[in-house]
This record gives sequence, structure tokens and C-alpha cells, in this order.
Amino acid sequence: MRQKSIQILFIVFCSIFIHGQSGPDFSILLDKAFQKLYQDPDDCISYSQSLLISDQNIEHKIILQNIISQAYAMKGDYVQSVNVSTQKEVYEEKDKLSYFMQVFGDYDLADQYQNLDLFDQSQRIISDLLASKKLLTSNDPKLKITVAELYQLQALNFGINRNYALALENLEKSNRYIDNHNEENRIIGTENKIFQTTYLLRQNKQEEARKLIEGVISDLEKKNDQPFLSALAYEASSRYYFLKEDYNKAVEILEKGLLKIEKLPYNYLKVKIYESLSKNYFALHNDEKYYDYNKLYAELKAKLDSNNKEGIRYIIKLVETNQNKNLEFQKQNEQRKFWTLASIFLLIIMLLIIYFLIETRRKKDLKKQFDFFKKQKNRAQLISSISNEGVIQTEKSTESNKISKEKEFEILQKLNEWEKSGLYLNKNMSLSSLSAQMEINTKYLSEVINNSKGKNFNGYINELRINHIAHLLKTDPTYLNYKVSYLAEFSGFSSHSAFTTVFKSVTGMSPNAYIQEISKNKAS
Amino acid sequence: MKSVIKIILLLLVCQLPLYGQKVSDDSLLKKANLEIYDNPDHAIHIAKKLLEKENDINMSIRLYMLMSTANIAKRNFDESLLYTLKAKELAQKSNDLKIQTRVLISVAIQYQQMQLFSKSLETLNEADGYLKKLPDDAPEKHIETGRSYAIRGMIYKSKWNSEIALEKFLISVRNFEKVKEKKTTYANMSVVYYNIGYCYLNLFQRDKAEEAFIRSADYARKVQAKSLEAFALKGMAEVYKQKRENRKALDLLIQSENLSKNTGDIILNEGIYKEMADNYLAMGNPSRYQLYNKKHFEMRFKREQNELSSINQIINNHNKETLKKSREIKKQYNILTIICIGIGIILIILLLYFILNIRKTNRKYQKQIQQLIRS
Repeated sequence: MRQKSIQILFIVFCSIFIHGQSGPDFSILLDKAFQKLYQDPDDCISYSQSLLISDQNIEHKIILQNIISQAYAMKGDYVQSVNVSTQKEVYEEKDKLSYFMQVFGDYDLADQYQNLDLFDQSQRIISDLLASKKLLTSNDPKLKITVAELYQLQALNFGINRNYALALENLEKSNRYIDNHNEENRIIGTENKIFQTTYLLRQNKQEEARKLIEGVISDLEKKNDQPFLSALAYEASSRYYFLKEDYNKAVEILEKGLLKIEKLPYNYLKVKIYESLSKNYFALHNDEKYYDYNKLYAELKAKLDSNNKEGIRYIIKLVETNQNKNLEFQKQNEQRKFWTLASIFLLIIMLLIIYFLIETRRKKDLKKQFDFFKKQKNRAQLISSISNEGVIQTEKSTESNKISKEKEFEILQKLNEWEKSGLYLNKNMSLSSLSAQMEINTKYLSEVINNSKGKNFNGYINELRINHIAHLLKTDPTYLNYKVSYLAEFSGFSSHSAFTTVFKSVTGMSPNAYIQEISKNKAS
Repeated sequence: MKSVIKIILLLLVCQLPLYGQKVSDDSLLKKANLEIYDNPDHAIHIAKKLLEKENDINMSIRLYMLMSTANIAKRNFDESLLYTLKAKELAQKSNDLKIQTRVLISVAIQYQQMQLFSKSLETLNEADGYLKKLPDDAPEKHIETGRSYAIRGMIYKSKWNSEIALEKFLISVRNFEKVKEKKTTYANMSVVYYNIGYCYLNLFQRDKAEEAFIRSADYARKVQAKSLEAFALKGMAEVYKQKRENRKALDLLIQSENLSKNTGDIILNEGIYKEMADNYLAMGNPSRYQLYNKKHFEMRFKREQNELSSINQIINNHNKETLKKSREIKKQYNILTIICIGIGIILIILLLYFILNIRKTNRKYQKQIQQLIRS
């Protein structure tokens, strides 16, 4: 009893476990991981890794690994970030690559390029990706948010190259792919707004920027669970006050932002805040604070720069794996196309071969029928010249010297007479009864039949029967109305099926087909 | 600061002597040296070629070091280390203490460039062993000791350990001062004093810092190294910025900018623009601040992208190769597809031919059979 309950428990547990991997549940878990990315990168890494261990779906793994890699990048640990990105390729190779996997792999590489300041490379990959109609029109939510993220990355690339108009345009496009159905979408949306603020400020559209960022900040303050985004928004907002030369307000906002992420390892953002703080304190002639923050900035910046340099060492490997994967994907694509084509051809060829075989069989049957009808036509002439034939046949049989010519001739004569008598229609006719009737040794009779007719007694008598019935069917229309089973009985066959088989083997067509053919011709 | 490291690298590496080389090889080598950062593959190719017919140990060592540097540019650190170690090995074979120490210190610079600081320090310690064996009157002893301590100082400085860095730089200066042939050491002295100035700045000892920068500028002037002088002036400007004498700082910076005009050193310009922007900000001149801040960011971006140019090159090469491979795959499958279509069509035509033939005979038979039945 106890064992059974344990078993049930085990099954239930398993089903929960398996269910845990399915679509909607995974997207909830994933969304949580993404949310943690903006709340605490360390927590996000351990959470995603625990998900990673229990998940077998390759696509899920890739997304999780991208999140982990992003978390490391936010911490400024570019080496780990690149390494995590590179790792996934190991078990990817043997699996089928889906379109999503290819797009996401490229996105991941573009992201890494961006982290490591390789903006041109990042821009190139994204332009290639975003040129694909298939991607832009996809309805898959996973692909849609990836497109939004791609546009965001592209905007950052343009921003770095001081092309603010294009950057803003890309952010607009990114917004169009966001639908706020989950945290990930909302976070990307907020992030877009903050970036928009920065670029608007660069374009000297200060009031527009202020309105935008104030909206973002008031939203974030209501929720109060987004430390990264809040700090990022405060940093952007401080730039507005810096431009307005209200350094005190800028400092106040920056300190507020710094407080949000003070205990969290968002080093990349911290560097930006330290830099802004030191600049503002410098402008305020507050030397003490200026040196403090300048030192913090310089130290962290140096650390990040060296991390960045080290990360670049590993990027080549990532590039290689990514490109190999893309080649693999291309190969699989080409292979699929090739095999589709090949199997279509194969199918056509197979069908043609089958048809060909059917036609050859028909040809065989028709040949038989043709021979049969021809024979039947010549039957009358054959009967008249039968004696001659007998002579010819005896000549053939001289090869076996067991039976004398006279004896053989005599037997053939008797057989001819017997054929004319129609006695072969008797059901009980057998080799022994015929030999008794003719008073000839069974062995002799069998041998003569074999030699002269080219077949054994059964074949010989069956052919006689079929020829007879076929002739009757052709000449006497009344027979056409009889049932096949009656015809079978009439011609001395014990069963319907035996008759059909023998009839087919002799004439090349079934009795029914024969009857149809005859009546068709009679009618016309 | 980066550029200073580069300058010192350039100065120090060029001190490796060149004996009895043919002109053609020399020009090739120069070309290779020039292409280290732009086309490292080509530089390596030239060096390998030269190495094949090279008998002179000094030259071989130099070629190995060149290949190592080119590999750093390619971010192929394993390969770079390999060549560095080969150079080290060769030097040990030479039995010439001077060459051995010189190579070891070059190796240490290499490590320092790769930011493998502990490795660099280790190599410097090894070099110290050889340095001790050198006779006191040999000028190499002091030059190499000076270089060695200069590198140590830079390592500590990049680790934000100004006190220790300062200590090392001062030892370095003392050693350079011992060299009788003063002129050869001026450039190095200027660089070291520049670094000393920054260490003092970090330690808030402004007067000492100023003194160091003045010396750095003096030494630079003695060898007419304009960019070194510009660096020194920029350092001085930072002292005045800290003292809140922004006008004076700006004057120095403008002077420095003028000096650096011809050299076109991005890093120097980046530093000058940053300082200018800072000073204008402190003086409450936002429009000027914006202007120079923009210039500063432009320079910074340019420098960062310059540093990444070799990696970009490698990635582009990779992309090209992948594109080639991808085209090959496409071609391969196109051929396969054509073959498949060809064979398929031929087979279909053949089969159709047979089928039509057989149907014809079948029809013939059928007709004949019907005739036979009717007759």
C-alpha cells in the first residue's frame, strides 16, 4: 500500500516536472529571470542558472544564457559574459537549428560586440538581421521582443556615432514591437524612453526630454522595484539639469540614483553616475566630493576597461562559433531544400516505375490473350491438321527412346479421339482413369503427354477444358448468361477459384473479363 | 597615459641594436614594424621570411619580439607568448648578459602591455638577477635598471598604488642619472618624470607634482620631443586645475595643444581637450565646456576605435572567410541540385518513353484481340 502511494507520488511529481517545462510556464519563469536582470544581476545569474540546469529545451537554454551573459555585462564582467555566450554552442551543434536560434545567436553576438565597443560590427550584424522581412513580420512573441531589442541596440550604435536622429528613429521602431504583455516588454519600453531622453538632450530638445523623463521617473517611483531603471532614469534626468547649469539639483538626483544601486553590482551604470557626480561637484567647486567621486570613477573605469580588453580576447572565439553555427544553419537549410527536391523527383520516378510495371504486366496478359485468341481462331485448322501435328510431335519425341514410335503414334491417335469426344469435361477424369480407359500404361501415357504437349497431364486437361468453355462462350451466347461457378462445374473444375486461376493462366484474363469482352463485341 | 606606455615601448624596443644588416632586409623590417598594428598578418609574414635566412642572434630576437607584438595586435595572446618565450630562449643561448637582460625587459614590457602584471613583475625579477651580474661601470646596467623600475612603476600606477609607483619611478630616475652618456636617457627621463608628476597629483602633493612636470618638460625640450613636452605641459595644467587656477591651466593647455598639433597624437589631444573642458566648466563657461567636451569625446571615441582596429580587421577577415565558405556551400548544393534535377529529368523521360512504348504495343494487342474476337 505504501509502496503504491509512493509510486503515485512519484508519477505526480514527474508530471509536474515535465509540465514545468512547457510553453506558458517557461515564459513566466523567463520573464521573472529578465525582471531580476534589472533588479539584481547576481540573483538573476543564480536564478537563471538553476533554471538552466533543469531545462532541456535548447531554445530556452539559449535565452537563459543570453540573460546570464547580459547580467555579467551589466556587472562589467565582460570576460564571463563572453564566455557564457560561447559556452552554449557546445551542445548546440548536434541539434537541429531553428530560425529563432539563428536570429537569437546573431542578436547575442551583436550584443556582445556592443558591450565590447565594437560598434561597427554590431551595427553590421543588426542591419543584416533587420533587413529580413521574415523577422520583421513574424508574430512569434519571442521573435517580436528580439526585434525590439535589436532596434534598441541599433539605436545605441547610432547614438555612439552621434547620429541621434537615426537613433531616435530606431527607438521608435523598437517601441512598435513592444506590447506590454509581460515584464520584459515593459522594461524594454521604459529603457527605450530613457534612451530617448538622452538623445533628445543631445539634440538640444530639452523640454521634450524633461517631460519624457519625468513621466518615466514618476512611473518608476510608484513601483519602486526597479533599481536599475530608476538609477538609469535619474542619471538621464541629471543630464538635463546639468545642461541647465542647475548643478545642485543634478547632484541631488544623481545621489538618489546612486542610492538605488549602491549595493548592487551594476558597475557599468555606476561608472556613468560617478562620472556625472564628479563633474557636477567639480562645477560646484566642491573639491572634496569631486576628488572622492573622481577617484571612484577612475578606479572603476580602469577596472571595466581592463575587463573590456580581456573580454575582447575571447570574442574571437565567440565569433568563430557563431559563424560556424550560421554555416551549419545554412547547410541544414540547403540540405532540406535539396532533399525536398530529391524526394519529389523520387516520388515521381517511383510512381512512373509502378505505372510502368503495371503496364508490363498488362502487356504480358494481353500477349497471353492475344495468343489464346489466335490459337482459338486456328482451332478449326488445327483440328484438321492434327494428324500431321502428331507426326511432327512424334518426331520430336524420338529423343527419348524408351517408347517405340509406333506405340507413341498409337497413343497420340487415341488422345486425339479422346479430345474430340469431350470426355475431359468429366470431373473425375484423371491420368489413371484415362490410361485405364485407353488401356495404356500410365507411365507411357504421362510421358507421351509430357513430350508431345509440353506440359503434364493436369495442365493438358485444364487447357482442354478452358479452350472448350472459351469456345462455347464465344460461339454460343447462352453460355454468356451462366454464372462463373456453373461454368466451372460444367468444365469439370472442382471449385470456382481453381477455375478462375486456370482460366486466367490460359487466356490471360479472368472469366468475367472474358465474358464481358465477348458480350461487348457481340453487342457492337 | 596609454600613449606614454606606447612611447616608452617604442623608445625601448628601438634601442635593440641592429648589426650589419642588408638594406633590403632593413627596409622590409621597417615595413613590418609599420604594419604591426594595421596588418599584423603581413608583418608576421615578413618577419618569418626574414627569420629563415637570419643568422644573427640579435636580429632573430628582434624578429621574434616583432612577431610577438604583431600577435598582440591580432589578440592572439597564446601565439604572442610563444614568440616571446622563443626570444627569451634565444637570448639565454647567446651567453651575452646584456642581451639577456635587454630581452627579458622587453618581454616584461610585452607582458605589461598585455596587462599580465604578475607575469611582468616576475620577468623583471628574473632580469634583476642578470642585472646584478653586470659590471657597475657598464652603462647598460643603469639603463636597464632604470627601464625595469620604470615598468614596475607603471604597473603599480595602473593598479592605483601611487605611493609604491612613486618609489619605483624614483629608483628608475636615480639609475638613469648614473648613465654617463646623458643624452640617451633624456626621453626616458621625461616619461618617468611625467609619471612621477601624476603620482604626486594622485597623492595631492601639488608642488612636487609641478616640479616633476617642469623637469619632464625640460628633458623633453633637450631632445626636442614635442609630444613629450606637450604631455608634461598637460600634466602641469592639471596641477593648476587642482589649485583652481583655471586661467593659468588653460594657458598651459593651449600651449600644449600648439605643441601637439604636428604630432597628431590622439591620446594627447584627448587629454588636452578633457582638461580644457573641465577648466571651462569650473569657470562657468558652458558653451566652451560643451565644445571641448564634444571634442574630448570625439577623440576618446577615435582612440577607442583605433585600439579596436586590429580586432575589427580580424573579425572582418573572419566574416570574409565565412562568406566564402557560405558561398562554397551554396555552390556545392547548387551543383548537387542541378545534378539531382538532371538525373531526375533523364530518368523521367526514359520512363515516359518506355511507358508510352508499352502502351502502344498494349493498344495494338487490344485491337488485334478485338479483331480476333469479332472474326
